[in-house]
Amino acid sequence: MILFEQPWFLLSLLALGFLFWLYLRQPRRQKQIVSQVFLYLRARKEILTRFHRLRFFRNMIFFLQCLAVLLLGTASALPLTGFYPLLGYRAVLVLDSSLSMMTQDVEPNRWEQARERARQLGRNLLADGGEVALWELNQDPHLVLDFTLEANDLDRALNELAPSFSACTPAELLLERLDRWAGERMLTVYLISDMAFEIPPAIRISHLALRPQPIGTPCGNLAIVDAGWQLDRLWLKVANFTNQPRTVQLQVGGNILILNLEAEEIGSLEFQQPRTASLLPISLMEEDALPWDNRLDLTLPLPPRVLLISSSPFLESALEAAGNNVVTIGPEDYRSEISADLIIFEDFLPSSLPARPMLVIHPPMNNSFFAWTETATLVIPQARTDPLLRFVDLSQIRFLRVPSLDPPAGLVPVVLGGETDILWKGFLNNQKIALLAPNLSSSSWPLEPTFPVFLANVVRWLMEDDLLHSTNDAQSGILIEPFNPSYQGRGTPWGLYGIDRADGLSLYTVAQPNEQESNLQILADVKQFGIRSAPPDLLRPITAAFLITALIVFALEEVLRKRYG
Amino acid sequence: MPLSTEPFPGFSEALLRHLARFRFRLRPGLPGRGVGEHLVRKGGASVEFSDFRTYSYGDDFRLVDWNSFARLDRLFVKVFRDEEGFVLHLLLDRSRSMDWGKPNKWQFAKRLAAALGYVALSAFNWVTVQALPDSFFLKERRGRGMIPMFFQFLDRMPVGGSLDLSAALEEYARTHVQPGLLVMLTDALTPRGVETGIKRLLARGHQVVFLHILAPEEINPSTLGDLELEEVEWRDRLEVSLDSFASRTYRYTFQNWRRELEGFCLSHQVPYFLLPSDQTVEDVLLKRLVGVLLG
Repeated sequence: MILFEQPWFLLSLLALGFLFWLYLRQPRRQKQIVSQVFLYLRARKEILTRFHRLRFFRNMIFFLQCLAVLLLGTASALPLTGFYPLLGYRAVLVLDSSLSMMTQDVEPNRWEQARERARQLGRNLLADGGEVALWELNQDPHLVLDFTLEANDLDRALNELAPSFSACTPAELLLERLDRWAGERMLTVYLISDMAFEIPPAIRISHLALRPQPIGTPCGNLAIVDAGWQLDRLWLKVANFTNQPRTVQLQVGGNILILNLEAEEIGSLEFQQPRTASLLPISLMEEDALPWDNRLDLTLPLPPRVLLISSSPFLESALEAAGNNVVTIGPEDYRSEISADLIIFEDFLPSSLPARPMLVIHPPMNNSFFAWTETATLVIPQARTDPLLRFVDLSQIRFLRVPSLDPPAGLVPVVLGGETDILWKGFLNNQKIALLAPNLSSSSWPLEPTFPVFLANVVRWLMEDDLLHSTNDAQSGILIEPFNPSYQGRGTPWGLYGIDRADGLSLYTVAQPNEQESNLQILADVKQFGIRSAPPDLLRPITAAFLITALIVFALEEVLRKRYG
Repeated sequence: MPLSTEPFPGFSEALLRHLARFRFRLRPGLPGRGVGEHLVRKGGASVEFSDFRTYSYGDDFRLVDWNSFARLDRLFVKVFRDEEGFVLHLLLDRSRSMDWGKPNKWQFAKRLAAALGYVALSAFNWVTVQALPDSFFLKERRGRGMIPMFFQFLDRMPVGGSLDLSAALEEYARTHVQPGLLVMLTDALTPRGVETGIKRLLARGHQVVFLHILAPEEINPSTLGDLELEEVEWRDRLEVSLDSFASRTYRYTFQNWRRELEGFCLSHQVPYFLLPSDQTVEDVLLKRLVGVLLG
């Protein structure tokens, strides 16, 4: 299988159609005035005997032209071989083989339908470049087929699967299994079952991409089909499978929400995220015959735990207004062991920087990281376009005094100030850091509405999973050290391991840090993470091979064309 | 003496001076006409000594070789060669097939005919021009004074018409009984051939010279591909597909045809010259015809 870095260049193969058109077209013979034809007539008998050979070579010329266009088009699309740029899509097909799957309400029975569903689902996933594993869910849930890229393996496993069809309580077993998969990112679990059980609320399904695939006769007519959140807004989708309009009552936490649905309509509902809840149970007030889709437990994102070492009331109030969980301490109480998602230092820096994302505001004069001795006065900020300054207008802000900092490499200025810059961001010792040079009391900015917006931007940026922060420095053959700041301490086993451009291709490898390098798995290609791909390398071996072959074909075609017209 | 009037287009004064020094090499026994600068074998009144013969009654006493009489006591008279003129027949093919090729065969043939006619007229010989097809004819002219008119006639002669060359030669042999040096300037591109016509001319006592004028593209065609050929003279059409092999086959056929023509000419003691039109008249005269036709 050949994949292409620039697949749209394959459109150039449409030129083949033009070649076919030219070939099939009967061109008029070129008219030429000559002084005599009787010598041509004498020679014609000889020429006619060569007609078939001439036609063969003309067909050969046409074939070579097509081949050359095909090769050039393929080469221009920059073919990739040698690895499969997976889409990072891993799926586990969980096949319920409990006794209820023997029900014959569908032909031939639910189990055969489930097996066929798994086969189709697996093929589609594998065709998209995913990895698929197969589990059997019964009294003894077990792995039937480990992650594979091959559809044949899945087919074989499904064909050879001989379920025991024992009575069991899949919900508890599923809970146990899902708990084991809970830590894995980019893993989707397809539960192919008749759903003759209720998924316990304790299963944190919103943390896990659990996709039920119901088998058998539908016995429910209302369902919560999807839910999620964006910023502080939650949304919910409810389906009405009946042919009658319905008014649905939903219990969201302690509140009752009402949604009117037309027949066979999927309606959506938005509401404000509760400030304190981290697990939000949602259920339909009206139960139907299929209870599993009447409930949903939405796990909400926890607010960042911000450790604020500052005495400024502006900072604390602004951070809390943005929904952060703020703990404020004085410099004398700071210990590196204090757990926090990010730390904000104001007028203080410890002797060693913590291994956390941080915002440093007005570092002290004699610190060992951002030393400064001079102060610029009346600095007018000039903001660059940056996510930190989204919705932040600094045009009216003036800073009376700004320390002339000399930040270390790795930080880039975001707000310029003429004699000295005001705001930097970047990475230091593999940690995200934002650095605000001026003292907050030197301007009226903390009193402006843009200040809490700025802080919210800083917190969002510091908490982002910017896994690919160092790709700008990536060079061919350089292996970047394991680094995943956002997931440190959260128990996730996955992280960005490094970038390898040794062979001219950009690969992002993801590994479990506690495993050996041999267990590295290629998870995603460069584009998935939004990094600009390496410039097209025409000398990449396979591209060069296509080009050289095309040139040889062109040369051969030219020789034949000269010889046989 | 070079001509003081305007020379033929493309001719330089130097070339004309060069041409004026040439004389035609004629076949022994070719009938002459009038007094000229061409020495013939038979006795005459020139200063060129030829032989002695025994005195007979009525011989001019001024021709008696008295030295021989003193030694041998017999009378001998000296015989001198005669100087006669001859007729140069220029048969110029002006059919449409001649108006073809790069360089144009017709222009080349006219320049060559002009040069040959100039050589003849400079030596006080007779020159007659017959265009084939025969709507243009220059009656026999003699002397250098006729050179401007001769040049003008050639220069104004148009090209055109279709020609059965063999029949035209037969007709010429029938109507022009005065034998002389007959130079054919033609491409001979006629399916019927020229052999019969040449035989008729030879039978009339002409000394025939065949100047075979062809364009380089006719000798070695370079155009390949699917072609619809249209003959310029007879408008015959032929569809051919020429690749390198077909082109080679054509060249082979052409060479066979040319060899047949050359073989016929040699077997009938007709000097044959294949003259590609990309040659210059100077080269043709100085390198090809000198020693055979000119001396």
